[in-house]
Amino acid sequence: MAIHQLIPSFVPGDATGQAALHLQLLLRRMGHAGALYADEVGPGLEGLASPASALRPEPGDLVLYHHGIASPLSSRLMHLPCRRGIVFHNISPARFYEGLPLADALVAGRAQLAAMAPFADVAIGVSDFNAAELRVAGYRNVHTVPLFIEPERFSRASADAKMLQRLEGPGPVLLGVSRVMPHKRFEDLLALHREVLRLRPQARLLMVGGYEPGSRYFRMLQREARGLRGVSFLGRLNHAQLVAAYRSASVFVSMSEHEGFGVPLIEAMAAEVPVLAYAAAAVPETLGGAGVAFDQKRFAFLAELAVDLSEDISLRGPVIAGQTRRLEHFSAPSVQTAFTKALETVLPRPAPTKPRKVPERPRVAMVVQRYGEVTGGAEKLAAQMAEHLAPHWDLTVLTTCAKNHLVWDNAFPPGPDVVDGIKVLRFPSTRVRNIRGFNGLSRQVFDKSNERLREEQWVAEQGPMCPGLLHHLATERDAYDGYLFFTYLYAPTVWGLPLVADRALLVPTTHDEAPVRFGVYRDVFERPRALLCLTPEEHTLIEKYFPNHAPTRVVGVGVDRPRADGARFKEKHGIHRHYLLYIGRQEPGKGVPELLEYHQALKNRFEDAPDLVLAGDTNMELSGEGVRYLGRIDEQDKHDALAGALAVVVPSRYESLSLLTLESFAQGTPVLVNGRSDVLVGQVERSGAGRAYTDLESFIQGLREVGSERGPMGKRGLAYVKKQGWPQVVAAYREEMQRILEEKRR
Amino acid sequence: MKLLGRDIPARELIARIEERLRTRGLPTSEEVELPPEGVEPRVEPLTFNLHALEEHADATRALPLHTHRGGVGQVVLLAKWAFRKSCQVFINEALGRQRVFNGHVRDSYAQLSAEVLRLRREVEALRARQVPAVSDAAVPQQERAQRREHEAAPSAVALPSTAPVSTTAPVVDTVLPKPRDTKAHSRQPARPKQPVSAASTEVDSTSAPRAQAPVPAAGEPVTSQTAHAKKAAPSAPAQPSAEASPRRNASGQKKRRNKKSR
Repeated sequence: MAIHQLIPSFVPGDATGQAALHLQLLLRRMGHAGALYADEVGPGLEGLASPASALRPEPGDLVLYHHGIASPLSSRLMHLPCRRGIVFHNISPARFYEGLPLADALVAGRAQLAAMAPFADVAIGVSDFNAAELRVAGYRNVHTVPLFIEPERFSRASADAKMLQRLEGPGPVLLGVSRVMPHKRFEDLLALHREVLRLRPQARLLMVGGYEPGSRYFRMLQREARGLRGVSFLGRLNHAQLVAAYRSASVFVSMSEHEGFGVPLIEAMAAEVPVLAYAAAAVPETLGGAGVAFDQKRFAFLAELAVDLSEDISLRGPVIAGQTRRLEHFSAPSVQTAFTKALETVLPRPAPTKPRKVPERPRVAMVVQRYGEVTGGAEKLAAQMAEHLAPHWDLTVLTTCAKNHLVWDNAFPPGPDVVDGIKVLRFPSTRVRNIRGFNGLSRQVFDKSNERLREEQWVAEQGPMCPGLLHHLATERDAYDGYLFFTYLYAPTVWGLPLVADRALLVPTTHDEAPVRFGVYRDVFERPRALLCLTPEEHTLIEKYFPNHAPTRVVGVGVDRPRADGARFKEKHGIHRHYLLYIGRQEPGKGVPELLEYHQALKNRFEDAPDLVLAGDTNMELSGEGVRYLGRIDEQDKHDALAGALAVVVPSRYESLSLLTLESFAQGTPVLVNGRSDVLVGQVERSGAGRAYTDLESFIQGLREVGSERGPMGKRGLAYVKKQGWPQVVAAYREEMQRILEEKRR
Repeated sequence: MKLLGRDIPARELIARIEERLRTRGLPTSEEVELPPEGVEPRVEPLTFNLHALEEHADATRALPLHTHRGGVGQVVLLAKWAFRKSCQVFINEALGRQRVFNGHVRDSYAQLSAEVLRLRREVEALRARQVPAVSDAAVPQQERAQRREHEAAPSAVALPSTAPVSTTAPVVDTVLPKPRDTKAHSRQPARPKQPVSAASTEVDSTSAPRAQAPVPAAGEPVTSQTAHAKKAAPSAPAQPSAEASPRRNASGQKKRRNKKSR
């Protein structure tokens, strides 16, 4: 059974779309898979929401339709052959728009609301006020599930620095945030500002929200504002800019005559700005005693009050503290409780499960983005773990049909498969990645504060998009005793792990890269039963970005030490000089261009400079004097290459653990690693079997030292890996899984 | 003036501010109009949709000229008006079949909605008849109480019931769209004064069966009257005149961004 959501419009800056994303997050935490469908999908958001016409629910599914202004989707809902629910976001009363075409759409929206009532199994109002309107419209089984907010996204650190600077200046600063629409009464904000100017001539008024520059209403506001000092129409802002506006304000003011909930009220609370709001419709309910609500628009009075709120610490402090307390009501756990209660009335009760004996050979699903015949550190680690855990667990690998991680096109057939004796169940990916578009999006969102929508969009574009896999996780929960996820980064983990978090272990392979700072990964690091790290540096990194992370254990990896012959490799490939070696994905993200550049500089300076041998899949041009690219090589060839190299170079700065480094140590070969990776530096320092470089000079110096001390360094490396055996690693995984099984039995 | 807030000394604050206002020579208790309270009433969908269909069935008729913009908007309005004036005859020709089709849709909807209302009433009457019959029987008091509890509990699967069951759902709260300013309507180019012959024939051919459509029983809240029939006989009480109905309906409106965006 899936729970889908149907939305009229899914575009950035839309509160309904954000509400749908938030509900989807909660649904995943509750173990329900499902997708978003919208009549209008904003450009670039196709990965997150499908067209409404594509919605084909199963009879047991539930579709939650978000209703506001009139939409043809309401007719669609009534005819869906499944369970149906309404999430009501309220409709502005038509009395504010009498004589205007909008009035008809507003009345039509209310007619549609009433028409859907007999066909809805559950109705959700985002406030008690909305719930009351639902009852009046004829709904039964009505529940209040408020919208929730992620306060950390409104911290000062999340504010756009440039905007903060731009908005610096004298106070008090009043702020209004909403669409510029007549019933939001921006003219009242201007009237209030006029009064505040009498008290504080340097006061400013910031007005944030989308507007139509040519509209009569906006032009009227502009005319009114012309005679006033310090008025800024900032228009629609992106999330970081919006946070900057909140953080620049002394008081948030709402003069709106109608609010079904009032998202900006709680945003202001999260940004620690005192709220002063006209007590219209659901506003007093949303404030819940926090902030200051007023019932009359006496502007001279309110101006005095606004000045007090911004300057009188004894008044401002308790108001902000009260607002912070009130936010608890709009926290995800609190909203999830209400949402669960609402859904319980419409979903079949789960059959009571008898406590099972702890199985001797537990059924475990390993979830990884690719499996079999693929190059990639995490995927290889997953394959090695599968091989070593298979004797102890009834293991099934759940993965995609993709081979190429850049495009995720389906290369393997969907369905059951067996790879090296391991059961594999493959699900097709539904989107091919547009790498150019993805890189463009990455530039927009990296190292910035984003709203959840943008981060989820990035995850969707990153992929692989595999709804079948998510559906399997949600519906086949009882087919497995535990889950082992590999790699934090990809969509199957981000969206799949919360579905089964209560019995999931995660091997995050965390890298210090831009996406790890996304709030969207919080569930991945905080909700599983345990995180299994590969190095102490990875643990430190997790501590840094996710202070509330799940229990963490450094398990490392085992290293195989097959016999190898360097001479055999040289002879096979016709290599007659010393060589540096890098094996892995040959791509910019792995630091290969920098390695090629340094190697060319080395060749130019020194006649006896070693060659550079590269092996593995490539997505870039590999050329230069003394550069040999061998393509993919087999395992024995790899170990022979490692044994014969002067040194192995690891040029990537984003590593959670370098298997290549450990395999190199296993063959007695030292390493030269990128010194900007804490993980690699840690591995080299702990082993004493290599050097780190950060620029060309340190690369040459490191190479010189590695070359002159190859023997002793190689011995130290070998001693280091001998301490890390597979038996210890496997025992750690089994212990953590056993903990889950025993808790489940209780 | 009331201030609501748990974390403020409301009375003290009001007194302090009033005192300051007095010092500044400003009035301290202005008369203000309080906003209307409470939730919005229910809009009866069957009636609303029928009105909307009746109002918009004639696709050759222009929508009211309206703009929310200033200067440029007025120019656009003028251009639209000029287009209507000069090209109405072509518009009639182009949309003739659409007009006929819309008429059929309207009539079908009118018939179906009237039927739905009739059936709802019948179901209600049957239910009302069943309840006393069962309660009169020798049903133990405890069992009756249990049944009442069961009926009060929210149903997992809502039946397409005849009327809202909730006690807080006043069925009588039916609200029809308020009358609109008819000035805008009068500015519209009316129906073609002299329809071209082809369109005229089509309209005539469809008018006949519509006029012969079965007339619902007296007291039916929704009827399937055609424009011709309405001219002949005044509308039923639940059916306001064409002027009192909205100009546009849900399906006829432009696609709008969700209202929640900012």
